[in-house]
Amino acid sequence: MTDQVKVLLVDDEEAITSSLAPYLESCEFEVRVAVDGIAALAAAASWRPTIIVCDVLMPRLDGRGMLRELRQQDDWTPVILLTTVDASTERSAALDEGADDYLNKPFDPAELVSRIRAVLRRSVVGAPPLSAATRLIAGELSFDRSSRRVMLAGREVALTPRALLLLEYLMGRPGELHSRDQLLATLWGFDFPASTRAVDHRVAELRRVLGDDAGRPRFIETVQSLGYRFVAKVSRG
Amino acid sequence: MKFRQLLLIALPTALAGAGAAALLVTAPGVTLRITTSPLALTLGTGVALSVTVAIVVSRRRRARKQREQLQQLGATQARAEHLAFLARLDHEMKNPLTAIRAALAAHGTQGSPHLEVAETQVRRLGSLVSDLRKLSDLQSRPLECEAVDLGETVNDAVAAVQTQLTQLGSPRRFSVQFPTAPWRIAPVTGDSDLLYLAIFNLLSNAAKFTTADDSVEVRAGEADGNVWVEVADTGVGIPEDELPQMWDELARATNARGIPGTGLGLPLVKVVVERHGGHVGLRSRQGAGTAVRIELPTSPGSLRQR
Repeated sequence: MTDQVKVLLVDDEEAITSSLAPYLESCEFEVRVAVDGIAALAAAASWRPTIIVCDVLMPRLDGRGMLRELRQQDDWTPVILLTTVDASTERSAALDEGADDYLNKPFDPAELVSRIRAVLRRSVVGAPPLSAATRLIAGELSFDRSSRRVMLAGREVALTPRALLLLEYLMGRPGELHSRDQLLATLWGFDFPASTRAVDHRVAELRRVLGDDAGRPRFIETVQSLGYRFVAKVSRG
Repeated sequence: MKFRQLLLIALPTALAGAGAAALLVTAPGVTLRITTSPLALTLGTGVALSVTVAIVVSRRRRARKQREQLQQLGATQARAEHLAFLARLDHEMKNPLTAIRAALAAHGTQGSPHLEVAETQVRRLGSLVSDLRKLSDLQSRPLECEAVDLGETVNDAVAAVQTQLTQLGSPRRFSVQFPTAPWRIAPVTGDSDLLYLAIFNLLSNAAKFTTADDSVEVRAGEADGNVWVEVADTGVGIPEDELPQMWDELARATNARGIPGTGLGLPLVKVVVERHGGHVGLRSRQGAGTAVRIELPTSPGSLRQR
């Protein structure tokens, strides 16, 4: 039983926790419920969950506050925020605050389970994820996340804000395959049908600016009909 | 106000003129001695008159402008309230919907036709709520502006719609006429992703309300610092009395009932175009077809950044 995944489910809506917890249990997770950020911090310290699934709007301490507090304590338990992040500024803020992923309500419960598994696959127990590093380095490419500047072979390159966000996201999750739809929903915040052209355009911009050949990519690989993957090895700076 | 001012000049002049005329008629022996020269008198009256007219016209214009601004402010306010309502609706519905979905998933729906209905419908409700949210999100999200070549946008969107239609086994004839002479259409300043979304929606709408025998024409032109793009089809058309509501959320023409859709396509187009400082227009005749036109300014001056 020791390697069973322990999910801490944090939401003030009893209707959600009382239905979602049994569902997650039926998916072989061990589940505990906390009703707000303060209770969640206490449970995180005493129960040591493998992953925290957390609503944002809650009394006493909300999801973002809980997450900030957790990271300040150098606790790198993966967190999935259940939120409707509407404006793209908020979206990047959610990513900056060290959430490992997030999902809009209402969501398909099965989708939550697959997100939980994906986050756990990429996280290293106890270590901050690359996505939380202040500087990301891949060969001669470096991304300074605090100043939001990208350098290629020692020279700063100019990118549109969305291309910057996309590069940051991909570099923070190297080796993972990201579908266009998922990138669109996460970074653009809209998942209208057939709007994935937006993603392709920004990838094209990144390749042009970074001098990356789509046929023999150094950085971003197109996975036929599936999506994109950052192929270079990434380390923290 | 303006009338009184006019009268202030016109009345004394008319009275003096009438008095002089009366004197001339009733007492022919009387000599009228006008000390001011007729030229100065005419000039003075003229100047006074034109100043009055100028004041009146400018006041009238200002009043109209104020009225228009008030109307616009009212419309903007109504729109903002409407969007706030959509946001509240989304906020109030997302938790119950999440709970229902989780409860159904925990229980399992397989084998129970009733629960399967419940699951399908809650899914539908969920996507409706998220579509409404996307619409209000579009209203407030920051625009990422660059020079956008609408010809390229249209070509990409036509290709995407055609691919979808071909997969469904029902391609359309699209004819795209973007003028290239005497010069290509000027680029517009805008958010290329959103403009693509708007044009894609127009095309997929046109495809939705036509059959393989119909034709869809996409044309464009430039006038008065605006670029317009029109998507016209020979499809089912919209009943005349329903035309004014077609830009409202969830509005669907009565003759569109059998055709899948959310009634959010045109409102989305309108939101995107208006955020770019442009206008939308719709012409349609039931049984003949529909033309939707969007007009976008080429200069970025009227962008509505929030």
